[in-house]
Amino acid sequence: MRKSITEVHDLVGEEISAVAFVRDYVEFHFDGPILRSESNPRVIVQGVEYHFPEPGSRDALCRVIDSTVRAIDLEDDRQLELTTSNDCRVIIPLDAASLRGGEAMHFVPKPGGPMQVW
Amino acid sequence: MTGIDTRKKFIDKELDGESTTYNTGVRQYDPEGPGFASVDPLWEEFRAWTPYHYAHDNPVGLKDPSGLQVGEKNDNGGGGAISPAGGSVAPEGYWSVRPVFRGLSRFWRNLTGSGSGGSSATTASGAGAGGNAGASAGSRGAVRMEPGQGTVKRLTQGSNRPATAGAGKATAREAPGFIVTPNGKAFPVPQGAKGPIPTRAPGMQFTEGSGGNGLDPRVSGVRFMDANANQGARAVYMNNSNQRVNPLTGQTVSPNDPAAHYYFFP
Repeated sequence: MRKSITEVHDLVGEEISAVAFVRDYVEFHFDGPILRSESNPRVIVQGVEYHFPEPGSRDALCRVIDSTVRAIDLEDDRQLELTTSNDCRVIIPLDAASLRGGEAMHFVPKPGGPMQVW
Repeated sequence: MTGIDTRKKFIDKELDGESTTYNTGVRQYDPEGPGFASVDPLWEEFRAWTPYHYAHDNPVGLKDPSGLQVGEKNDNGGGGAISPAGGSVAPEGYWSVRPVFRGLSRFWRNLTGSGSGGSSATTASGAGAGGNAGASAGSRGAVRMEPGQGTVKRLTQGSNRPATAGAGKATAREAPGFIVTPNGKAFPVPQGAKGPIPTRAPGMQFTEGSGGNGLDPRVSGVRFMDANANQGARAVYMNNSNQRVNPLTGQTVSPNDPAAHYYFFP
């Protein structure tokens, strides 16, 4: 039976089932819960950093599919860093300078239900 | 000017003695009726209001001199539709920008704390800035933000009197049909939605609904976010994946799309 996921830290141990590119932002899917990056995320793969939406960043972001979240470091107003089982690091900026609109990140524990906004 | 019949009377328009209506240019204003005698040609831009309403149901504070849309504040300076920050109703529609309103968190507390936010017993679907509920067909109530007064009033159809707090045994889990901002903008809430629920960042959300009130059926939720350093207070409509959508088409939109958020103030 799956554990209850209500906070972003509950994603530790969960598998990333999909990376979705919606319009001009990115979503990380966890077979239900969704982590949405409204600011442009960065991903570090084998020591190389890619900035979405620059060329190569989409392929790099897709490397995390099928991996499991090993750790999550959340610093409000700075960034969320997600480390995966295949040693990729995804960074979602939360600082005001990185905002493209008024919001940086969304966490949707259960699609259609209440969400959390950074 | 006592003793002189200027012929021009209400909002400086001439009274037609035969029809007893005022010609505003586009439509006839009927002082004995609910407002205008014919449908607003711009009704699509004011879906939250009955197409016959006058000046957002706030004739004391606002003028609609052309019969098309609210265009100016009345000379007397009164009016409940003027925002606490001093902004007036946007003449081009009821959704545009002013990054000043910071009353949502208080509004949310009032809504949940007083128990007056639900609407299980109300039947109105429209909302008036001056305290009137619209008369169009519908099934749910409207809740007006009044951060300046620290109260939330529920409005009922066919009555100018706000319902008293707690009336109708409503619960905060039942969403109202509309949320009305202090400056009279009415934002429809999807039918069947639940809320308000906090959004972590200052704001509140209504989720798990579907369409209604002019919204595309794929619209399942709406959140009302307080102003921050980058954006003004705004409404954001969502689909079943909590993605931003255009409320009229249901299509997902970029955060930078004009349909991604609807500001409370111009």
